[in-house]
Amino acid sequence: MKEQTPPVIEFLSHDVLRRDHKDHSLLSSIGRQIGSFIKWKRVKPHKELLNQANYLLLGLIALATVTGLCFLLDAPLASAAFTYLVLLVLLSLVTNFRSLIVLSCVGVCCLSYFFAAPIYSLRVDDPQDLSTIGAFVITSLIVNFLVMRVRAEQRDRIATCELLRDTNQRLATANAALRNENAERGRAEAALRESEAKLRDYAATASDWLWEIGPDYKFTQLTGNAFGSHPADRIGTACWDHALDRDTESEKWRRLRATLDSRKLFRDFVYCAVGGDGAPIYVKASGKPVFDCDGEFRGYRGTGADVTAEIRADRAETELRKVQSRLAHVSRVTTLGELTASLAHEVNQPLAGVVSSADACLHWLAAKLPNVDKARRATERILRDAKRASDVVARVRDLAKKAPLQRTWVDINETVEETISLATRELSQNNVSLETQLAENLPQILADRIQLQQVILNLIINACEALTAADDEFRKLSISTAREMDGVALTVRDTGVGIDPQQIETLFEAFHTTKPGGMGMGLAVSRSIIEGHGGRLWAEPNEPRGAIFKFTIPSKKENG
Amino acid sequence: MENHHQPQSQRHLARANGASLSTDEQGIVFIVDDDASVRAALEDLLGSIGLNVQSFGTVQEFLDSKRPDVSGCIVLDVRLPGTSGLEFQKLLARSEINLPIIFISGHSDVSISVQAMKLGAIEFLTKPLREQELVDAVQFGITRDRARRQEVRRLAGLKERLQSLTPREREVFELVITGRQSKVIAADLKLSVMTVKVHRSHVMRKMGAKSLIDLARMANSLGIPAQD
Repeated sequence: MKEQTPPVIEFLSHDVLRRDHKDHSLLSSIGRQIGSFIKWKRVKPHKELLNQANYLLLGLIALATVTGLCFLLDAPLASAAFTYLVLLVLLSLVTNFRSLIVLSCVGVCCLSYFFAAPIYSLRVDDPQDLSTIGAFVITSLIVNFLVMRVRAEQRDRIATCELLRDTNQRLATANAALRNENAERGRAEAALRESEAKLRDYAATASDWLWEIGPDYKFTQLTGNAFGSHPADRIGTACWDHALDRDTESEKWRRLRATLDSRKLFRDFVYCAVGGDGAPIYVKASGKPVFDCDGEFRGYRGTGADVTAEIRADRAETELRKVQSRLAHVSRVTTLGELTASLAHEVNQPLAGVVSSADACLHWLAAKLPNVDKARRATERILRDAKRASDVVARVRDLAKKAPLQRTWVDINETVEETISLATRELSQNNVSLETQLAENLPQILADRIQLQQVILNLIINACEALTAADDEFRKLSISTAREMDGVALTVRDTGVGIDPQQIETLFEAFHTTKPGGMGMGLAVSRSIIEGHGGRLWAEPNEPRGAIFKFTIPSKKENG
Repeated sequence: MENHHQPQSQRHLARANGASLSTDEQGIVFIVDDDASVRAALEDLLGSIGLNVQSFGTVQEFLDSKRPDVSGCIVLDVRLPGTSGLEFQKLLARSEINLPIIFISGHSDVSISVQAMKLGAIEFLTKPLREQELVDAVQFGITRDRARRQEVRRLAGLKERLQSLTPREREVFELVITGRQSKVIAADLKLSVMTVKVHRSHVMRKMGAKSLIDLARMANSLGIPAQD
């Protein structure tokens, strides 16, 4: 029994400690334990069998010893029977009823065999002996019965006692478990209280507010800072009752209603509402549907925030970007304006070629023997020149048009060559000799081609002016491209008047100009364009004289 | 347009195909323009009307070239890399290359054209060139150069003849063209009237003058001042 107790207790205490079984009464668990106790009892006979055999053997040995002693002492039948009775009473204290019956029977046999005449025979002739044996049988049966009865009662008492002790022990364990659970619950409650306090603190200090709406979508609860107004003003109203953009953005509201009606979570819904002081504010709200334990929809709860500042900043940013783009355009057109004469020449030149070639062609065809070969060659020249003119026009148009930013994969060398073709005339006009060193196998960059051309053109024109101002016969401009660690670099190097090292940074400030007719935007705009491409534009003195302008643009991978 | 062009073109071509005329009579046009396509077009155009053409990309190329000694003219772009058209014009004047110049320019620049004309340019044309204007200018240029060359040749002959006079004859020559009579000259030179008349007839013969007025014109061409 002792070996079995620990698992039972363990099971019991486990049972009691399991929180989700809290409602299960302790009694039912005790009942289960009693059940298992009874089961244990049923196993008992199996084990007792061995004890029974032992007791029987013990009894038989004792009986044999007594029989031997009595026989040796030549005791009369009555004495032997009495001795047997005493032995049986003594044995009855240790052995069980069935053994006693067997022993009684063996005793009767021994008496009739060894002590009753005739000896060594089971036969009993003397009626007095018969009555003695009968009395022995009856007495032994009675004594046995009584002894067994007493023992049975005693055993029952012991069993009950044990059961009680057991139950007590289990109750104590359960009690301890309950006490533990109580302490645990106390701790959990404290933690809960702390977490509640924490949440309250968060809510009180957050600039966002918390809200709850009922199944009719009307506010049932709002924290103090909601909408910058008093919560009482909003309780009982729906959020769209205070919206200012319900008519202008009805689609947005329709979608919100659909989300709410389908009891789905919504996030970052932005709308314009009347603020506490009557001024419009932008509100960003997120909410989650609430259901009670029966799965019944109880409304929504979530957070709201005043995002007016963010929205305004966003709009200002967009506006700024537009202004920057416009400025870039104006600066571009200004740059083109500086090149007007060169560009006009650049278009006029091929046109002159076209006209003269066409005249020549007519002559060849009008001859008595038309010279078709010469005429064809003239026509080919016309085509080539016309294409050249239209290329220039297209390039100028590209630069002049007010196009939105358009980032594509650009080969920097191609861009450089296109730009140079616009400035060739300007350079030769000013006796500037241009030298290009374009590195091969450069990575492509994600950039706006037009803006890039604008920057390069600007740098070329600046260099050209610096060279002209230098009053030097030897005017050299070099443009080179190279691979940078994570992209490409372009360097424009001149041998012009150079730059004052102390003024290097002010060069890039807006309205800083050294030209009488200049706006002073060229370099400022160029730098903002390059920085807009994630790159850097800077200047440094050239050796032995002149200036170097250099920019780098990283070559971003896909989705850069 | 067609009708206007055709007979003229045919005339030019007839001349070109004829090839019987000497290079000098035909003339030659030198084109100096840095733009290859313009150069090619002009070369072809002037070639198609039967002119000899040589073209150059820069002034230096022109100066370095071996040019035929015939009458001609230069079609010159105003804006050239290195030496500009105007500087070139001055340079030519200094180096006594007296080819007439027709300027062509991408756009009409009044101040440049005025300067060019003052320095003796024949014409200042803007691109794209009108064929007729160009052809007229070129032919006028060649004609003028031919006339100049003839004048140069005539003067050279006169100078040669002048050199053949003896000092006494030269003295008589200088006095004759002032319109003095032989006896006045004889008195001035303290010679006999007869001697003066002999010298005078020698002068008339050596100089190839048909009359006194002819002789006076020669003296004028040679820049010999009439002595008072």
